[in-house]
Amino acid sequence: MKKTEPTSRKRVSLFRLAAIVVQITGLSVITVVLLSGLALIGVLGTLMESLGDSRTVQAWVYDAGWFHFGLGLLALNLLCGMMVRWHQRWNFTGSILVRAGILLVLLGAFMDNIAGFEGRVVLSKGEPPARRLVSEESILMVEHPPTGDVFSKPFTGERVLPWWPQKLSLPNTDTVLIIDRFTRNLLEVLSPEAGRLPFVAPALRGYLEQPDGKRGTAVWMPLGVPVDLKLGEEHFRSAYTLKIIPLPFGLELLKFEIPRVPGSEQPANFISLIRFCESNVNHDVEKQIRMNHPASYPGGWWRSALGLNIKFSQAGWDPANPTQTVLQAVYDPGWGLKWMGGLMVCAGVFVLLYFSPRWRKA
Amino acid sequence: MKRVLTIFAITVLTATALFGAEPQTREPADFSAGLKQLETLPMFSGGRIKPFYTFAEETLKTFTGKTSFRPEDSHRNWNAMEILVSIWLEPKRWQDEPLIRIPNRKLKKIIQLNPRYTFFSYEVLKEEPLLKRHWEGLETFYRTEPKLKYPLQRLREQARLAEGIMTGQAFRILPHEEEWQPVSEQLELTKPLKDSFQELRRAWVKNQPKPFAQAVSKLRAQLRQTSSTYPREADMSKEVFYLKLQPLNLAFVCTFIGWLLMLAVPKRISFLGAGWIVAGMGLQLGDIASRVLISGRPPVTNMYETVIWVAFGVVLLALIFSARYRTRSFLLSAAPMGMMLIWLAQSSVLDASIKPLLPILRDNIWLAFHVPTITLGYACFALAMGMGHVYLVRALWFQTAPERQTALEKHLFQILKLGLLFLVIGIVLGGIWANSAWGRFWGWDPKETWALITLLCYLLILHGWLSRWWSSYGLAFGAILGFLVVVVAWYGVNFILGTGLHSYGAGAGGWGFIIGYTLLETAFLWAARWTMLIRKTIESPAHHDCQP
Repeated sequence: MKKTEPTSRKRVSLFRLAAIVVQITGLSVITVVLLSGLALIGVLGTLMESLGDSRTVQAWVYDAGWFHFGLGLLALNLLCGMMVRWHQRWNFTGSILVRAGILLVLLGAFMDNIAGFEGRVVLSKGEPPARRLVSEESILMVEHPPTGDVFSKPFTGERVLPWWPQKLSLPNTDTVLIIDRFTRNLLEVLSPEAGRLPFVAPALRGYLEQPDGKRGTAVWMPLGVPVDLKLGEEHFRSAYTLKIIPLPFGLELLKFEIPRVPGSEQPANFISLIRFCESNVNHDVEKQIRMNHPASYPGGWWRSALGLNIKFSQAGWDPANPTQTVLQAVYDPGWGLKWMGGLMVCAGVFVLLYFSPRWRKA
Repeated sequence: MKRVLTIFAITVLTATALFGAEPQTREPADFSAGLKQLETLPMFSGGRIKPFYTFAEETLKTFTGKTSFRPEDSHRNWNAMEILVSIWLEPKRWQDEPLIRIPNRKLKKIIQLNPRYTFFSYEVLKEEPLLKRHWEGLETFYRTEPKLKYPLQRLREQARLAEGIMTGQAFRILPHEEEWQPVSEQLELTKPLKDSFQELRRAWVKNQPKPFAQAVSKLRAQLRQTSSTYPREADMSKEVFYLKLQPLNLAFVCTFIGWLLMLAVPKRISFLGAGWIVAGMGLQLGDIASRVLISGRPPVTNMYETVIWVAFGVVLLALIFSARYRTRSFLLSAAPMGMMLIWLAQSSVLDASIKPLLPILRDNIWLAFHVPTITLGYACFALAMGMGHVYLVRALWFQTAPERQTALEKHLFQILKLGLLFLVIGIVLGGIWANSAWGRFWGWDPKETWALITLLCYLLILHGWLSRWWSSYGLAFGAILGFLVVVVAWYGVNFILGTGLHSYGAGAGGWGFIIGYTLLETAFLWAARWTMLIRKTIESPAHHDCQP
């Protein structure tokens, strides 16, 4: 008995310490500071988007590690806030529901970030089924022809700043690839006069560097076009390209209709009839996709409810080619959590505003 | 002598020809009888059948931003009917007329127009490649010049419309299967119609009002017989009546009278003012209902429609709260807000025409829930902003009794709470719609981000007040400042920032409104703060000690 007493005390003091940490982390003031910070970031983000473009803002703000870290801190704060208020849950029902709702939304977003994907597929009538998506996420691929080594890494060109070049160590060699510039339109850079309007071509500029300081010639790498990089005897092939996501099934466009507003050429809708084909399934499935009415595959209500299928929605069309449709595909396993979270926030705000003792008293 | 007489005769004849003859004028005679009949002539335009009057007003507004215009060689303003009929019947006269308003200087530079001029003729614009129907580089142009997207879209719409009316293609008055046809194309098939149309043209060109009116009646009678499903005269008359009545203008007047009465009369007879405000609200409801009946869809598909919806919502909410809490302060605050929003809706920045919906807005149940809910939230915040003003004015400049101020503070809190609830539900409904349209719930689109910012701002305002971080003055200040955030989320993202996926509500312009409003509010808040500081100094014990 005497031996166990100090351990028990130690446990109690550890528990107290943990409780203090949870109480401090869950302080409302921290929630207010974090949410105010989020609002401020939103203001700056939209201003940046207005002055520049949405991809740059996504790269520097919403997809950046520091932003996700901030959201993680918010999740931690909300979790601790819930734990602190749990013993008075009948007084704090609304507040707990709102916190839990936001937590679920953040958790859903986290799951989407880890396991989800998003891409586009262009389908033309009469062509064989497409079995891959083109993601908006860009990658940098480097091949070393003598050894056959291929190195690939997610790379966002918008994050390259002229005064902050990015270094990429190439595996099995001392040579470093340095990316020092990015442009949204290579033609504007190469010939500012000629490249005013006709064509938008994002490109990276890179060169090789060896440990002794030797540098190769800087070469522009337009999106999707492989280029050769040389430095002395060393020779690499590099490509800045969009990530390709393979699909476990094929999509074939059977029919594409563009009903027009009567008396004008303005589209009233876009209707694609798609055949989903799988080699291990006996019969193919045909589904119609139109604006505001996406199609999910594989089917089944439980898969749709849990977000465990790919959702295809109408994303674009080519006015010059009316037999071609562009679909957006989203796989979001955090879908169900986001929904539940959204509904909980609504319910929580209602309870908080109209049933919480503190707000009612006010 | 004979020579002198000859010279005299030649001189007299020349002088008569030069000065004495009837001058060539572009002023039409009084064609009102014929034009009146033409007003309700059904025609097909913009994806629906509408009266000629609607078409004329919308077209002239698209060209000039106004419903009347003074041609270069005229001494008076021509109304939309006169101008459109004139273009229809004698288009060549209008090809060189600078009728199309292009305010954007950068766009003018790109299409090599003189930036000093604002109005340009169809003849000047028709060869511009940027305005061609199928210009392949358009999407690229929008990507490289995102700021010019909406000005260019507007200019393309103007150029396309100008082409349609100059070639006669836009005047589709002849029923023909699903799409109606312009009279010029189908007249070979129906000789009597062709004759009537030629009579009409002749009478207009020769400036003969009576034959013109007769030709209009004849043409209308013949057109009516071309199809068994020809629109009813009564339906067209209703729309013309709605447009001419301008219920929103009447609503503005009624609300103004009601507001003045409420300010002037004692509380026991303030129902007189409330009655006028209710009448104004009824007219607003009539306006919205008319738009729903004409367009056959919820009246929340563009900025104009959301503004009139919020104007209606502000007054409706004020009436409900007034009835609930038995106080005038809601209506006193709501009336100026309603008037300001009606005035904004009637300004040239917003397009009031009923246009066909974009694909994303069609076949979509969430449109009927998401936009009205979120804009009702904005209506609550607009009302709270008005109440914030009333609170500060009463507290600082009228020394109102503390108990009345406490009641007002409580009401302000109630309306902010309701706004917050509408906003949260509206955001989640927007997520549901985004999921069905774009396949994702949230994407940090500027409109979504600003809705979140608005929500967080109001949460902060209310939380700070509940936690005693600021007093009732802080709540009033917050209600006023918070509405500046609403203005950015609602109007600024679409019209000022001009980015994002919610481009169907977008447009250009309105900087003047935003800057003017922000400056006025800033001045008001500074004045309020200044008065508060002075009063604090006067009321402080130290100050009293210094008194002799």
